[in-house]
Amino acid sequence: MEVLVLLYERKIKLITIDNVTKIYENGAIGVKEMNLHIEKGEFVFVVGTSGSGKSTFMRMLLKEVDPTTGSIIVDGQDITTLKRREIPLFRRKIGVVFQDFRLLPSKTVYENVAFAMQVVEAPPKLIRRTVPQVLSMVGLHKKAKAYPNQLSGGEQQRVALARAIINKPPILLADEPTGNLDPDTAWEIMELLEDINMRGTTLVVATHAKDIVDRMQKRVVTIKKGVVQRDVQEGGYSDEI
Amino acid sequence: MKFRTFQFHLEQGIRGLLKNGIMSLASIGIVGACIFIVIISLCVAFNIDSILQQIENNIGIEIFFGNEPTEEQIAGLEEDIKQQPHVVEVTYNSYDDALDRAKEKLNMESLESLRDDNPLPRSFYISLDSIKAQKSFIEYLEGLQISFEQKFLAEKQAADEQAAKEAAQEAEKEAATQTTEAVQAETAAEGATAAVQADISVEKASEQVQEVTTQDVNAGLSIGDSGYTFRGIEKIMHAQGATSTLAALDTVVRIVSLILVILLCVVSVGIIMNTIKLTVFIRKNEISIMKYVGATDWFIRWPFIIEGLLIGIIGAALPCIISWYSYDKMVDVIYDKAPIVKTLFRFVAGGDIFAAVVPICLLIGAMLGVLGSANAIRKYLNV
Repeated sequence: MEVLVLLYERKIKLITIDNVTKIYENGAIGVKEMNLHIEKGEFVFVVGTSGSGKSTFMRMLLKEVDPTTGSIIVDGQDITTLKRREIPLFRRKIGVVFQDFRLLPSKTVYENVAFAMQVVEAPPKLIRRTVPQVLSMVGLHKKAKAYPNQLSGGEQQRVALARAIINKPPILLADEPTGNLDPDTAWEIMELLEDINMRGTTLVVATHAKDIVDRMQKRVVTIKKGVVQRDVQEGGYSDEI
Repeated sequence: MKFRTFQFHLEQGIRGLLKNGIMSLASIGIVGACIFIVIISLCVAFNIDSILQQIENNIGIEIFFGNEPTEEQIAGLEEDIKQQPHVVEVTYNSYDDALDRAKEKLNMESLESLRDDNPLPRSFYISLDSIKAQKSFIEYLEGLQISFEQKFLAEKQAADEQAAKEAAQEAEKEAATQTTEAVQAETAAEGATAAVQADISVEKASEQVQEVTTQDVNAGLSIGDSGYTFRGIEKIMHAQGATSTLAALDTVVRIVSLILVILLCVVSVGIIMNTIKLTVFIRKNEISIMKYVGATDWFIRWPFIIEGLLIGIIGAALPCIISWYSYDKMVDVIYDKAPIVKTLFRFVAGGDIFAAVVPICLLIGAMLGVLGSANAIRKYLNV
């Protein structure tokens, strides 16, 4: 019975944050005794003000920083104990987009997306077949040959999204994905994220955008001063912040 | 690594090289300048080495024999000398060879008349493979000079002692005969005068015996004396002063050029590291993106290493080509303007120097590039 419970838990709990504390070298507290479970296929907003510990949380999921104590289990694997050479393989399970898009300015849209596949040494044939598919999914198949500086912010974020999902990671992290976008474009990106979530990818979105959170009615985790203050299903950005 | 991955890295490396055009040119220029100085010091070192070699080859050791040693003894000595380390060749010049050489050197046909009563000494001409071995070899020869003479003298002494013994025996026999004669005379003479005469004659006879012995003893002593002039190895001719100076110079040149090359390499690595660090810095975004999409460290490293390698190899190849071309030209000009140089020594042919210099420099260049870029990128891999 216990085994079954374990199997069940492992299957649905894609991300488990277990009693995690992060104290930086300068003494600043990132997160404090955080516990959180994210299930497979969930769409989670992580909200909080700057310095709330939201970024620490996202960076720990990417294994950019390690928690001081506690464990983070992603897809059945405790990532706090990963060896240096195991990190790249772990990162292939996670797609990521940032507020500032982080595209390579010297590469075309097509190349920027294909780059993610080249890095994981995918066969060229597969790259040639997959990149156009993903580009048309994000609505940019006509801009394949353009360079990032020829695109609008929304278009650039779409390229970043295409790059993040092209290797079909089970988890997609988005750190303020709409921070640099006007409300209409932001909404388009959110719809795209929801679309990606519908196809089975688990989404963790850190954001400030109150209106979007309120409108989407997804699970909302509120972090304040490094502590999970509120965790509601189908919630809004709400009041107490 | 899969071939297509290698292709990808190569492509990325070349792209990086072209994209950071000015930075790449600067790096190539710096590598080129360092390699150029390395080449110059190598060329100087090669030539000084070769000139020293040419001089060394002209410096042999000649030893001259006295008249006493027999041909067999000399042949025995030749075997001993040939057993020594560093000895390349021992040439024996007989009396006739010496005369022929003198005739040729002095261009005097009249010397031929000396053939039957030849005053010219026999000699060995000994070539060594290293100028540095001369000093110890001369010490060996000086030891040999003494031991050879001692051996020779021992033989001579043994022979002389034998002869002296025989002479003494002879003299004693003679004296004995004289004594008998005297005794006979004594018995024969009855008168006092006769007795006195006989006495005198006995005395004379014994005096004679004594004289003979003394002479022999003297002869025996004089063999052991230095006054006896045996000449086994009469003279050892060498240019120890010149050779030791050359050997010291040779060592100094080698050490100085080695230090110079190492110093330059260290400086180049530093400069290249900084230059590539800049190109890496420019591309740190690219690196962090690669990290986010799950690139392994080596996947990120390879394009930079290939870029560094290309910079290093191009940076080394350019000065190689330029200096090879100008070296040959320069040698021609020197021979042309100062023909006297030709009679003193020959420069090493460009082909001979650069057959060694080119691979060395390409290797140094490649190593500098790879080391520089690998070091420069290390910092940015910890994302």
